[in-house]
Amino acid sequence: MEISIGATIGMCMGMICGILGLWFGRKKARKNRGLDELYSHIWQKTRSYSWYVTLGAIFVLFSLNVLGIELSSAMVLGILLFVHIGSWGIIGIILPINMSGTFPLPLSRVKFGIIVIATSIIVFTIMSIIANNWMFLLFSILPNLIGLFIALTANRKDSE
Amino acid sequence: MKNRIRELRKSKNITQEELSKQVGVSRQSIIAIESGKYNPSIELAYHISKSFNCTIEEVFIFEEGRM
Repeated sequence: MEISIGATIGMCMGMICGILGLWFGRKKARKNRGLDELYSHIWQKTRSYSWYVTLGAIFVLFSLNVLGIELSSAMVLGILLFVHIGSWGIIGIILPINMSGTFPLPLSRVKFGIIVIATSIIVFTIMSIIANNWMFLLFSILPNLIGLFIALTANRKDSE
Repeated sequence: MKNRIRELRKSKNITQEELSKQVGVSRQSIIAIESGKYNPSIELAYHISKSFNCTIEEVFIFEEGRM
């Protein structure tokens, strides 16, 4: 079995960077009394919501398998990791803003933004699987950013 | 659950930042509690009430049927 040195280094570096980012982030948050009960509440909710998104992705991947599309275990695990961590991060940005904003984000805009993000991830994931080229996933970045922008911004009329 | 934090804070001339320091939470938590988006734990509610020299019932108004 061939061992990819680059992938091994990338995985280790990714894990180290993630742990360091978490450690420094928590250190800074602790200074501002940020690790309080609202923090725990928000991140508990975020974990819960990201599992719903991951369940949706598992359902989509199972459906693709049933339709006869061959999926390697590395590809499936990669997509699930991407969907889980991605949804965790996005929801983790939206919830604190919505909680501590001086005005509530309009629910219709948040819902629309989430639909845009979820649709783009699912569509481009399917395209990348069908074309057998993961580069298609990069095309989902722009619609995801647009979805995020829609979800997080409120127009002036909403804020008054 | 409604609360009178903003009103009491204004009457005592305390900023959100000062109140958050007194009770040991972030300013974002005070904003979320003030705006009614987050209901604090009994412990935090006690600390907030204590900082205004009030009882919990004087600061937090429980609404029947909203659980």
